[in-house]
Amino acid sequence: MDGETQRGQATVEFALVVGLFLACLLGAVSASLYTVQRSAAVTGVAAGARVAAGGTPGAAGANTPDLAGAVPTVARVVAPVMAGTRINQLVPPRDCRPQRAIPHGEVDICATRAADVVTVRVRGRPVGSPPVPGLDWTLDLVAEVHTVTFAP
Amino acid sequence: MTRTHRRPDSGQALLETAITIPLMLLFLVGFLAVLIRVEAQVELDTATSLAAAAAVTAPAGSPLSATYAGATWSGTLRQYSYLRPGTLDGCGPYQAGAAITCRGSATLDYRQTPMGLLVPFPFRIESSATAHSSRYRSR
Repeated sequence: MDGETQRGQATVEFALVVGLFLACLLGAVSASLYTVQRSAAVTGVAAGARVAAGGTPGAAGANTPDLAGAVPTVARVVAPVMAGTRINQLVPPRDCRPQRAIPHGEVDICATRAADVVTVRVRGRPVGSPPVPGLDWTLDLVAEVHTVTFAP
Repeated sequence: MTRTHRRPDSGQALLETAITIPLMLLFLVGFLAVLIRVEAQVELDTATSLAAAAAVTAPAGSPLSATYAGATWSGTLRQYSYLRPGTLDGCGPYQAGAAITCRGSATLDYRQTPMGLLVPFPFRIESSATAHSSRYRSR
């Protein structure tokens, strides 16, 4: 094998290995970012559920879930880790859109009530999370909590 | 007939690549597995914490504590394909002025994900959370 052929072979090998290395690195960075976003969303929906379950101010508000207060609470928690993502704060009792209807780069935040259970949800596809086969690389996090009831 | 003399290092690059690529992929999958393990713990902790908070909202002495906690816990955990809710214990009944400590367990199963290649068996994770009722609550 002459020198030129060896140099060409080394270049091809280098390109393959570097390409694979960068793909792995990108995957790891992307997964880390997704984990941070997911953790923030879990914390956010839990905080939102606690706010919603706590009742509203004013007369007869003790047994009325504060759905309107839950949505901005979630948004405050998730916004710092979702740069570039459009965060849709849906007005209660509007439910989040189906996952397929939410474009890439957007997340919905919604709070709903069914009987005595409050549901706060973050759903969508934030920026920075390319799909990986076999993994649900989207956000669909929910917190359900029983509303606080105040006996007379 | 001429005989080609191969250099000793002609197959070395192939061998190096054959070792390096699976190793890199293994590291990546392992990294993802650790991330999911941590994330699953966060999700279980959150659900158990909310369950404990829901349990202390029931009237004192009522079996509704466990009902509220169970509904909250399973409702929060139900949507994860890799995390199967297990049991939730200790959530009541709430007694006036007392705290409630809930203990939840779940099964983490990687087999529906690419990490199943590395961890091909389910395993159990646990969490506990304590909630106190408002000290201004009368009953």
